[in-house]
Amino acid sequence: MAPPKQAKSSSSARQSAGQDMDFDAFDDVGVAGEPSLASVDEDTSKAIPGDLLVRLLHQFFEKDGTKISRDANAAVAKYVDVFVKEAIARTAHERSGSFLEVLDLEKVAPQLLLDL
Amino acid sequence: MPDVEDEETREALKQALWFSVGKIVDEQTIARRINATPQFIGALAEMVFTQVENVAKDLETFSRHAGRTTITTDDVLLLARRNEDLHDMIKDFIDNQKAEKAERAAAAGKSAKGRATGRGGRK
Repeated sequence: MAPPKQAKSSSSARQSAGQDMDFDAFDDVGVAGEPSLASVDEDTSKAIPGDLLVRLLHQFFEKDGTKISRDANAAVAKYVDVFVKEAIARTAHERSGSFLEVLDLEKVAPQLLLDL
Repeated sequence: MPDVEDEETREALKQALWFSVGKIVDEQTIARRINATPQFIGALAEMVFTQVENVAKDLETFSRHAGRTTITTDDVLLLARRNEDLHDMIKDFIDNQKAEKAERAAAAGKSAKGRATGRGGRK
């Protein structure tokens, strides 16, 4: 394999090592141009905003005077984040085509709700 | 309860949640190189909305049971009591949060101690 490509593959985290066609190199540029890919597996690049969550929670509280601490709110945000990502992951596992569909979500929803 | 204004805020919140869920779905599907139908995003947002409602009521009940009116992280941990992995994840998250806070307080007063918990280093 061409040495310059090797060097590049070590810099971009995501690359299949076994190919050496020209258009692969072209493809790599596209992948490398997407910086989000590496950071996706880490946490909370996108998540439910804390402000929104506070308002949602307060909307649902039934008694007057119920409050939530800042730390607790962040923890709930984490919980919701896990919930959403788990739903997506399970649906992606269940899907038949290349689209996530409502039907697939319906299949995973009951167990998801029991688990989380 | 079902007065008009209340219903309006509810709808507005639901739409805001829809938007946020949509962003997470986009991010996740791009990473997996798949797609999601708009209906999927809507259904998921609806599910999350309902779940948050249940969670809010649970948290309120937990805090009242403990004789408090303010929900703390202990109440949130109680939410995840039946799922050990989830419980551990949230425990880690809370511990990190506390550590970061303590570190920041220490850094404000004096130079912080060892422990390399960088910015954004959640896990």
